[in-house]
Amino acid sequence: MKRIMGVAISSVSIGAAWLAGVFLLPAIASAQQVPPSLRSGYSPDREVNLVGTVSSFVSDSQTGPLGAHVMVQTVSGLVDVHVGTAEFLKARNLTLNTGDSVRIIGENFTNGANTVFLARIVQKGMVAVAVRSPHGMPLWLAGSRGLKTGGDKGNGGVQ
Amino acid sequence: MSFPMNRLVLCSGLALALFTAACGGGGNGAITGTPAPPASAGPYSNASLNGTFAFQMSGQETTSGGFFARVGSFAANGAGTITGGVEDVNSQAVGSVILPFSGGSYSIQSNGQGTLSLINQTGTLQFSILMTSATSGLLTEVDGGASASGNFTVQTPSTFSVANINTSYVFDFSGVDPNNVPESIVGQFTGNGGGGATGVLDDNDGAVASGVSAFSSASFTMDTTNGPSFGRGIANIAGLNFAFYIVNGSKIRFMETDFPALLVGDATAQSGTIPTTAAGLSGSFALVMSGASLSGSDARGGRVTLSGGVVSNIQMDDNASSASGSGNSNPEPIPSGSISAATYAVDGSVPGSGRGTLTFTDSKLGTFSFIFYLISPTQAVIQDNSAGFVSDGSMFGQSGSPTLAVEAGNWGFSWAGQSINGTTGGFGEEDFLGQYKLSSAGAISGGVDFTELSAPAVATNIAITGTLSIQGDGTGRNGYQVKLNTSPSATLNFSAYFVDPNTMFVIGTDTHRTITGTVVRNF
Repeated sequence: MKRIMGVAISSVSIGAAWLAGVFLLPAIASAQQVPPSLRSGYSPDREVNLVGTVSSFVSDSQTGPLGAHVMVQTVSGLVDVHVGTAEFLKARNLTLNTGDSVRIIGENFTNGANTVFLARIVQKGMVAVAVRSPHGMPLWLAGSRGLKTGGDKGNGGVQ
Repeated sequence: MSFPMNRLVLCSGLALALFTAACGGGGNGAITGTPAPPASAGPYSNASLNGTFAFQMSGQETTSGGFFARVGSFAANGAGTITGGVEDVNSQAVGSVILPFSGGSYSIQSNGQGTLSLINQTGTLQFSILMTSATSGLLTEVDGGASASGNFTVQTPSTFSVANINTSYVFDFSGVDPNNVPESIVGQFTGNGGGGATGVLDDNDGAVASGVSAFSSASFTMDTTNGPSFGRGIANIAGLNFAFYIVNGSKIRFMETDFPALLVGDATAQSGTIPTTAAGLSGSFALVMSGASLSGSDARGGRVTLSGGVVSNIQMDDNASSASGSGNSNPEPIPSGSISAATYAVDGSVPGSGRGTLTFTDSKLGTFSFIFYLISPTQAVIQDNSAGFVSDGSMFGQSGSPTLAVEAGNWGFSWAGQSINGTTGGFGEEDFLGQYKLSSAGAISGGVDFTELSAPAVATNIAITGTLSIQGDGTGRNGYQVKLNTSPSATLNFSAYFVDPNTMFVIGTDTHRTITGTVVRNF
């Protein structure tokens, strides 16, 4: 069995080659289009490169998804970006403060009446952190894994 | 297994502190509250734990914040003493290691609640336990080293041989791949009794589904040191390496040892006549799943009815941590719109495997797609292959007619999930283990132990109150609310789906946590 291998960046100081690749990505210019639903899945083909300045950072956002959000001021306006959890970023030596210049690769989604940008890679200065896999799945510990909730009827736990 | 042993020596000698996460001991605080009422008189005592027990648990380490699991076996003497054992641990803090238990102790109250400590070279692991039957129980870690939970089952030593791996098993492994991406593998293998097997599987690795995939390579070898006493062995299934513990002739517990990859789960022998067509599979089923979505953690479950290839009677709950309103997770009932294209099939391309598919479309929520492998005509493991989801769980045929009069009695529960702290923004796993008495009026009174990394804290012997509200004939969504009498108090809301009069699956419906669990009558 061959597993998917493709998360290139976890928490690294990045070089010019990666930056060059980032610049080739389209700017966030599709704001007029209605983004897909969160339930439609993540598509690498729809990824965009978001560049701007941190307006605010909250570790417990009052709007979804669950976790940390950063508001990024771009030339197109303010964008709500979900960046996983504050603990995950901190463990990878990335803190986001008001006024920081950031570059974020990800995808815009409809979330109920709102839109939210799901970050896959967050870059501040020369440090980039991958918070999602190439297909958009969380790299922070998301969800209770290990089948603790299913299982034998009489056993209650892992099946 | 050279890698784990090498790693063990390294960690033991040079980095003992790292073991605090995976092996007990941590810096969590304590939550106080009203003590639980005295235990109800029941059938349990220290004598209930007598023999060797295979256990398995998973969760989140406090120190590393990473996913970890442990699977192993301990020997209890029926009088409060642990006489030995061994465990395999796979964690971001220590890698994949094998650790023997030198001793320990336990204590069980008459209602089945108790404590268990297991001693290894790194220190003492502390658990709360709950007997759910004379031969099995639930456990959760309460030493602050992690928030984790699982269960244990008595072993049958006479089956500790690969010669007994000679039938068809359905397996469900879940965890993370080498890149820490959520992964679920479900499938079936048939052992040849000589340490070999062949089979089929479906791998959902980071929301990339493999489709059905046959494998011709699997091997099982007993551990000459720990196999005879504790049923331990090593396996390679489709290229992945595992430690396994034989429970009996029909169940084997697995944990992947390919650190940093980590999958954990059970294989259960198929029984009965496994349907080979949709016509052979019918009835109403309760299901529960947990895992990850694009937005974070996900909890899903409910009830469906299968007949003639058509899925009907769909009533489910989904909490995908993606709210657009107040709070920040997103409990949504299914259906939220109109249902279409609701079908299921048993896969004729791999006859006898029990593999099948189930799908439906909700006009508001989108398309839901699942793979299942039948353990029997009324039991299956299930994998969520919906776009942007990696999740798995169980599906059981429903039976009985639940009413409060029928359901009154003593129940135990295990809930696990993730929550966020509204004050600090702390985020992490939480695991609850408790026991209560349900009155014929639907009132709940009992106690709970839990660890909540979003606090972070460990709480034990906290009183709980609450209600079970059975709706209609009880086979669909029911109301279930439990108040933790902590200071300040907290209330957890669930939808509850009966499997049978002795078992419920519950799915959390609050907006700051995603949680699922099982509630079982324990006497």
